[in-house]
Amino acid sequence: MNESSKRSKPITLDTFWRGVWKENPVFVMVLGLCPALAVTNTTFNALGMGLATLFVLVCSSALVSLLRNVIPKQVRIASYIVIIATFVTIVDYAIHAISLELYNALGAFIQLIVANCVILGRAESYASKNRITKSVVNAAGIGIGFTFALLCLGTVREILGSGTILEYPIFGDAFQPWVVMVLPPGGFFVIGAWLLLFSWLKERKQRRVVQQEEAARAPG
Amino acid sequence: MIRTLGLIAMISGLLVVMVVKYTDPIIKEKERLALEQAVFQVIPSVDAKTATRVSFALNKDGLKRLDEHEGAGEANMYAVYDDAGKLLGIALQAAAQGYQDVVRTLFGYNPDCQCIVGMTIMKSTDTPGMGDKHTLENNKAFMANFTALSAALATDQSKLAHPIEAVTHGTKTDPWQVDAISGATISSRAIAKGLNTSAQKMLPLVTHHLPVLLHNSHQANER
Repeated sequence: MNESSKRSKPITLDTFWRGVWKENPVFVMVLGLCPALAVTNTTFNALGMGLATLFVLVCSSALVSLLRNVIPKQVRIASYIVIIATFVTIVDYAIHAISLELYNALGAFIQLIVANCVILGRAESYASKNRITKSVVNAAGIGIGFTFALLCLGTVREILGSGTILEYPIFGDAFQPWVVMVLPPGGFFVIGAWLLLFSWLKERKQRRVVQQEEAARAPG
Repeated sequence: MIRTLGLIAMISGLLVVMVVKYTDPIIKEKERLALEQAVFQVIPSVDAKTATRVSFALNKDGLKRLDEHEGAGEANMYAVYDDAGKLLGIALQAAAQGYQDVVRTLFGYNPDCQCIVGMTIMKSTDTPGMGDKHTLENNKAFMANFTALSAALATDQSKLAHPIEAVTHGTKTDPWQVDAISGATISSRAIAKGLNTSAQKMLPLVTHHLPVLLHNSHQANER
C-alpha cells in the first residue's frame, strides 16, 4: 500500500477532469443508472440527487483513503459500506432538514445511494490505493460528472415532459406536455439518446486520430 | 480486524448521532410548518398570521386536546380559530388506495354549511402528469369540486345523508358528487373515496363534540 502511494503520480487536472468527461460515470462507464433513471424527472430532483451523491462520494473517499492502511483486506468491503452508509444517513437527515419537498420527491433513492456502485467502485479502486488529497480530487470529479449527467437527463425530461425548466414554464399554454418523458420509459429514451451522442463523439475523435496517424505515416 | 471494525463503527455512530441531534429539531419544525400550511390551505377565509391551530385526537372514546409538542403523532383532527376565538373550520385527514399507492389528502370541513370547503393532496404517487399532486391541484375545474362539497349528516346523525362519490367527467348533478378528471379517473375516485370514508367516520363524531370544539376556542384564546 505504502509503496504504491509513494510511486503515485502527482495530482494533475486530469485527476479531476477524467471523472467529469473521459470516465463520466453515467455516460461512459454506464454505472449508477438506477438513480440516474429513477429521480431525473425534474431538473430540481436531478440536482438534489447529484449533489447528495457528490457529497457522499467525496466524504467516503476521504475517510476510506485516510483509513486505507488500517482496514484489513478481508473486511474492506464491509468497512467501506459502513463508511458510505454513515454519510448517506447524514445526507438523508440533511435533505430532510433542508427541503421536505425534495425529500419526498427523492424518497427511498436517498437511502439507496448506499448501493450506488459508483461510490463503492471509487472506494475500492481509487480511494483505497491513493493519498487523501488525490482521492478527494478524483471523487469530486466523478461526483460532478455524475451530477452533470443527471442534470443532462433531468433538464431534457422536464422540458419535454412538463414544458418547464426548474418549474418555470418556457413554452406557454399551447404546449402539450410529452407525459411519457417524466415516466420511467422516458428515462430510458433520454439516456439512450445521450449515450448515442457520447459514443458518436468518441468514435469521431478516434477516427480523427487514425486519420492524423495515417497522414503522419504517409510519405510526404 | 475486530478493532478496526469497531473503530469504524464508532466513528460512524458518532457522526450520525451528531447529525441527528442537530437536524432533528429543524425537521420537526419544518414538518409542523408544512402541516400548518396545509391545514390553513384547506380552510378558506383564514388569515395565516392571526389564526391558531389546535390539534385533537378524536375517536369513539372521545375528544382529546393535544399539546403542540407531545402526542402530535396521534392527532387526527385540527381545529382552526381566528384571533377572536371563532371556529373557522376543521381539518381532517383522508386516505384511499389510488392507482399506484395510497392517496393521502387533508380536507377542511365547515360545520356551519355542513360541507367540505377545501382539499389538498398530502401524498400521491399516481402517474406523473395525470394523477400526481401538482397536476391534480393545478386542475382548477377539479379543485372547484371541493369548495362546497356537501357533507350533511343524515337525520340520525350517524352517517352522511348522501355518500360522497366520484362521477364520470361532466355528469355531476348533486352537491355531494365529485366531477372526476377524465384521464385520471382512478385518482379522482380515490380522493372521493378517501373523503367519503373519513367523513362517514369522523363527521358524526365532530358534530357530537361540536359544543366542546366551540368552547375550546376560548381556551385557545385565553392562553
